[in-house]
Amino acid sequence: MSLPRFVYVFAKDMRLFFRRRTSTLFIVLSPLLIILFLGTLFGGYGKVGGGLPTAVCNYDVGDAGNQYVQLLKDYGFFKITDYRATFANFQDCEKFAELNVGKGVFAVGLAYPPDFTQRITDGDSSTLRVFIDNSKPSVRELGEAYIKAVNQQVSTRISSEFILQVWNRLRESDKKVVELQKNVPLAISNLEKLDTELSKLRNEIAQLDVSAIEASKNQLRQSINDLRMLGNSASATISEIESSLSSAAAAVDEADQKAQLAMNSLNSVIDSTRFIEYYVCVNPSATECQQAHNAYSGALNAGSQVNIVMIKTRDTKTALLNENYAVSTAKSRLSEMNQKINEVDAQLAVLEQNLPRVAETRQNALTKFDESHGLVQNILVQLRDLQAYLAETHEQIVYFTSKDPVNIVVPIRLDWAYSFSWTVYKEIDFFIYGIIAIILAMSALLLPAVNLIRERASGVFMRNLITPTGALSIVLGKHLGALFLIGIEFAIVWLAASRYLGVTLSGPFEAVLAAVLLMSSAFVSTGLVIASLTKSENSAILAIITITIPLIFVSGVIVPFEFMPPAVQAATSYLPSTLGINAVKLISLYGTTPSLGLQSITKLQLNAVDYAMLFLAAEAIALFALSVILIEWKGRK
Amino acid sequence: MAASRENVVEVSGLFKGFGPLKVLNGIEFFAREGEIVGLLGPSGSGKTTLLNILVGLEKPDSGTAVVLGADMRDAARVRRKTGFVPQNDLFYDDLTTWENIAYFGRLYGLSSSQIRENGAGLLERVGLAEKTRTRAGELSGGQRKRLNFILSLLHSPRVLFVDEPTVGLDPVTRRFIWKFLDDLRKGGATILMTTHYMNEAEIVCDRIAILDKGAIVMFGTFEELKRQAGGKNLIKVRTRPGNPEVMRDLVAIMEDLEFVDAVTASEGTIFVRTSDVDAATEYLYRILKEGGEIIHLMDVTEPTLEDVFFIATGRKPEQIGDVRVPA
Ligand SMILES: Nc1ncnc2c1ncn2[C@@H]1O[C@H](COP(=O)(O)OP(=O)(O)OP(=O)(O)O)[C@@H](O)[C@H]1O
Ligand SMILES: [Mg+2]
Repeated sequence: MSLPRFVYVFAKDMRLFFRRRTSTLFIVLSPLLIILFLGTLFGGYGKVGGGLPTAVCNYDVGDAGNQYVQLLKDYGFFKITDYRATFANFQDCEKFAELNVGKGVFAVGLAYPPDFTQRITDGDSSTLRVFIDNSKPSVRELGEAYIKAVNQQVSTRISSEFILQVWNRLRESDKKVVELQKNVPLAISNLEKLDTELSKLRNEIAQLDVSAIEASKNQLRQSINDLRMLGNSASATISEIESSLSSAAAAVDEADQKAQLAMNSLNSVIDSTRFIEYYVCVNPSATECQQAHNAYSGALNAGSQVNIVMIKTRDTKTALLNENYAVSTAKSRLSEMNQKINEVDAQLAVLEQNLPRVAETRQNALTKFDESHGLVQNILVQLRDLQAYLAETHEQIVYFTSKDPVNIVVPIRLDWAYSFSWTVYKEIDFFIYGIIAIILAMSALLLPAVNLIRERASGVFMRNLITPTGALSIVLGKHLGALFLIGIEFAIVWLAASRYLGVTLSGPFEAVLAAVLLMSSAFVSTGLVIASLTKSENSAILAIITITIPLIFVSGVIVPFEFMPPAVQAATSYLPSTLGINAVKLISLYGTTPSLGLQSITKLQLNAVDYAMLFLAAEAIALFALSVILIEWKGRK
Repeated sequence: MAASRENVVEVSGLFKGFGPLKVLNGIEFFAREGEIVGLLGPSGSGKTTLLNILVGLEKPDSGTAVVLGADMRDAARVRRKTGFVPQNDLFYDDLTTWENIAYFGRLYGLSSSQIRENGAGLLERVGLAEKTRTRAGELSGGQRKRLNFILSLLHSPRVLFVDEPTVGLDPVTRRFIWKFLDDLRKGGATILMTTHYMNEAEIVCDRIAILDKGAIVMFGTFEELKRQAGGKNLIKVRTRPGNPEVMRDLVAIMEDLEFVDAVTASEGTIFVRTSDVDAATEYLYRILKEGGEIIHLMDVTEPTLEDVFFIATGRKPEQIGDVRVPA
């Protein structure tokens, strides 16, 4: 039975390592001694008992400050003393808190200004002063973390409440606006209708002037009476004319009769004369003829005279008759006129009768007009109401939108103030991770590097390389061997740290182990790369020291990582040590659990540990590949 | 050099330098199946470098090195069938003899039973059976050499490269190793070994390649080498030491003679290759008589390998630091 070749490389390396009693001893002793040394030096008091001593100056008039403090109490991590009663004003309390955090009496100080609730509920954001003793990195780390968490909770609650309130107001306003929006066109059409109605009525009423009608009617009646009187006098005159006419006619008839009689007598004269003449005038020249003739002519003449009178009489009679006809016509006209007047009179009577109803109609119209006016007034009130509402809504919206959303979402700003008191510096559970990382990184860099250099220097590595077993298996075997040794070291360090230093583990141990092994793997490969690039053991060891010394600093053991210049932070934040320390710290200190799984990767729901682990894994793989390539290249250049 | 189907190792136009130092300058040679080819060359002539290229540890700058049909730039293909016995004894001193055997056996892909079988057999053959459980660091020089040998033979390679197999060994062990190499050849293995011992090359090798200044200056069986060096037309002249100017004059005069083909001179010895041995001897004899001060001894003889080496390289074995051991 054959196992993969790297297993034999691994087994050989382990056999060689443990064959030396001193190396076996030191792989156990070195981490143990370091931890014991640190433990003795830095106390090993374990976790802070009863919570971080925290001074609170809660001068908040409102309730947000209390909520905040309550949440902090609920975490159980802060031992809170409220100094509100001790100091008359906010500034004194704040100063006291700051001073005492600086002295190390308190680890944390919190100062809530009086307008804390007011400002955050107004959407103006308030600043919470936070004093932190920075001489205890773990206190700072944890204090910051907890306060940030509480702040997040309170902030979220306040901001969501505020926004909800805003929403509700806006929704109410919106409802009314919608209602009003519906009513306005209706009101307008009503108003228009009423307007036309009113204008019509107004016209009618304008035309109706009852007193003028009364006056006209009286005038009319006067006229009618005058007409009647005139008619009467006219008919009297006509009757006079009639009677004078008929007397004239009688006189004419008489004259005519007389003329007729005269004519008749004259005609007998004329006939007799003419007969005479006719007989006498057989001698026309006889005087008698003359005389007869004269007599006849005289008769004729007289006859013609009488005839003319007769004609004239008859003409007069005709004229009289005509006159009579005109008079009778005038008479009938007069009676006609009278009749008409009577009719007018009758009409007038009707008119007189109707006049009171016209007044009634007018009164009616006026009433209607008043009603309409009332309606219009009503509508106007509605419209004004609407206007006012819209104005109010506008004002509200302007008010709410004038707030910076940042102040709404982050109503409480934390104003961190760091102090540094060395007096109670006993916090190993923070920098233990850096120490562990350094122990492991040193071993991971040195053990495989020295092993490879030794094998190469003695030439026996060449004997490995000329076998059919490729560089990959050989490097993998060596790599796993180194990881195995580091695993032992880690187990011892962890055991010692948790037993002796009281370092606790909040997350799963497997996750810590995975992070440690990934980090170590990156360093093992780095060691092998250095071993391949340097020409001697000495230069390799110097190179490794050159790497590890800055590593100790950037691991945050001596200077907190956050205190380093941004450039250094940026340059070192992706180092395997930084990533490894962060991952281990997150897992063991804060209990962040790696959620690495296919789901969280595909959905990109990765937490800080996941990112650190992914980066570490990527770096470990890349460095491993580099180590294999370099070793193979150096073996056959 | 004609390529043959039987050629197990074939090197042509091989160049290799380390920075400004040109170590190999166009190496051409071959090894047929089942023969031992010796690379004879002074120290620093590039023997180990050549072997390193042939086992794929180094890459040539140009040219080809083919082993069992595979270019050694792609050495992984034939590593299962080739073995390399390094010049120094390379194994883990902190592992026992057997642990070393088991480990390298595994690296050659052998099963545990194969390792047991081959390992035990080889230990028996080289006489290390009793040292199985001894820490390798505690073995004697000769025992180390033997372990070094058998660690490369566990997988029964068809081609074996051996770098200076007997340097610094006692005559008994040396002869044991010669015998061992001969046995391996009889077992069908092709062996390419380097050496700077003339007698070793002469005794062990079927064919010898003389390496000088990065090139094969002569290649062939011992007989062929002798013929190339002049064979029976060679006159060896021993001169008295301490007269370099006279020597130079003498060489210049002889080079101008029409019956002299080539002259190789070093302090104390002049080789004259001639087309007319009688004329040359007569001429030299006259010088001997007239100026007995210079010529000390004159001999017409078959050249030894040392002579061949001297003619080929212009250097005497003494000048390359050889320690002669009685055969
Ligand atoms: N890795 C290297 N880097 C630089 N120079 C080298 C290297 N290996 C060999 N050389 C040089 O190449 C030349 C040939 O060395 P090589 O070991 O091949 O000689 P050799 O013929 O095996 O000598 P010896 O008989 O002493 O073993 C020497 O001058 C040596 O210094
Ligand atoms: Mg050599």
